[in-house]
Amino acid sequence: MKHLSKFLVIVLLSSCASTKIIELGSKATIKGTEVSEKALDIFTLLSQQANIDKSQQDKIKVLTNPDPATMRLPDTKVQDFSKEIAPRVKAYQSLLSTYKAFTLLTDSKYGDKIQESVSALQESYNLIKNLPNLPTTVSTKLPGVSKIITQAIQAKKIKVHNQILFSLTQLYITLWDEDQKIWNDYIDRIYNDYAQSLNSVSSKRYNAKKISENSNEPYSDESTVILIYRLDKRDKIIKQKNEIKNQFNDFGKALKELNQVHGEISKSKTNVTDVINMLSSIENLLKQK
Amino acid sequence: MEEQLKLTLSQAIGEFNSNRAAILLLAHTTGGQAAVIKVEQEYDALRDAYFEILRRQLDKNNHLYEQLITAANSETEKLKASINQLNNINDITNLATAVINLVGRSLIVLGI
Repeated sequence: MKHLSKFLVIVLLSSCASTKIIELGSKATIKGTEVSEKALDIFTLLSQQANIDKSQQDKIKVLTNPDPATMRLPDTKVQDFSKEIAPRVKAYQSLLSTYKAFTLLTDSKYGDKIQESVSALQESYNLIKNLPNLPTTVSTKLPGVSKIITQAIQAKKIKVHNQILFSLTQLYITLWDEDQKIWNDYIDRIYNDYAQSLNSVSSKRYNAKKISENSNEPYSDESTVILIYRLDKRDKIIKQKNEIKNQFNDFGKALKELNQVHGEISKSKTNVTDVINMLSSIENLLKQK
Repeated sequence: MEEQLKLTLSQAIGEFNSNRAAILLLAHTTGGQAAVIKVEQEYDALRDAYFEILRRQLDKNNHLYEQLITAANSETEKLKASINQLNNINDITNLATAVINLVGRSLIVLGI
């Protein structure tokens, strides 16, 4: 009896741990999906930059031409990066597919399904009159124990796959860290060139009256009105640039947190609090700011 | 070497940006719209070169992304196998239920 009690306590504790791992695995896979989707959003954003750059450069050509009345309509070459973006998009689409498959593994249905199946099995067995009915203790405990065993198998598999996902996301981090510096240079080039060139445009090209009509600023002097407008314009361009670069940064950090989540879940003794904190941190990093 | 070239190009482009209107005005004074176009083409060439370096730097990792796709797809297959194993536990129990039901029916039919 004493041994039976000990066994039941062990089974119960194991059940709690398995349920927690399945739950954490499920949350990790949701965040993994969100991080992969964020990556795809970033590459969509990057693929839009070539046309933004073309449009900005065309505009600058008009604004800095000494005699726009005689100039040809500008048509700056589009800086095409689609060949570079394509393999990266494919890689994150593959990661997204991996997380979609992982979602199925972390589904809590397996334990419930087996419980139902074992109950049905017992019922069928007991319905056969010629076979002795199962003892009541077995009948009441068997479906639950079967569920616990299935959950334990499921939890073990979740740990093993988290170990693989830990290694896999580590590779994604290494490549993203290398790429991010280059993408930062790309964004700096596009937005700095625009902002710096706009600064060189002659003030004569601006209509102070028109600016005042659309402004709440309390200035009357034309030069001041124009300069304040130009400062605002410059700040907006720099803000736009920094917002894109911040998205790169936050994505990189979220990917690193996700990697740590997988590492922690794969450990034999998972620190649940750490995992929950890291999942929450990913959520904050992926929020639109 | 590549980084140094990038830096040099970046400085040249930045210098042009800051004085763009003045440089183009000077070009226009000396050679009209044709000179302006020529200067702009030189500037575009500098930017082309800069972007080409970025492309080359990114291309260096392209083959690694191919490997990453293979690794991710392999993990997806492993996950599917694990999911199948979990489904199999249930399938086996369901099969056992079906077998027992069949045994029950056989016993009734045979009147044992």
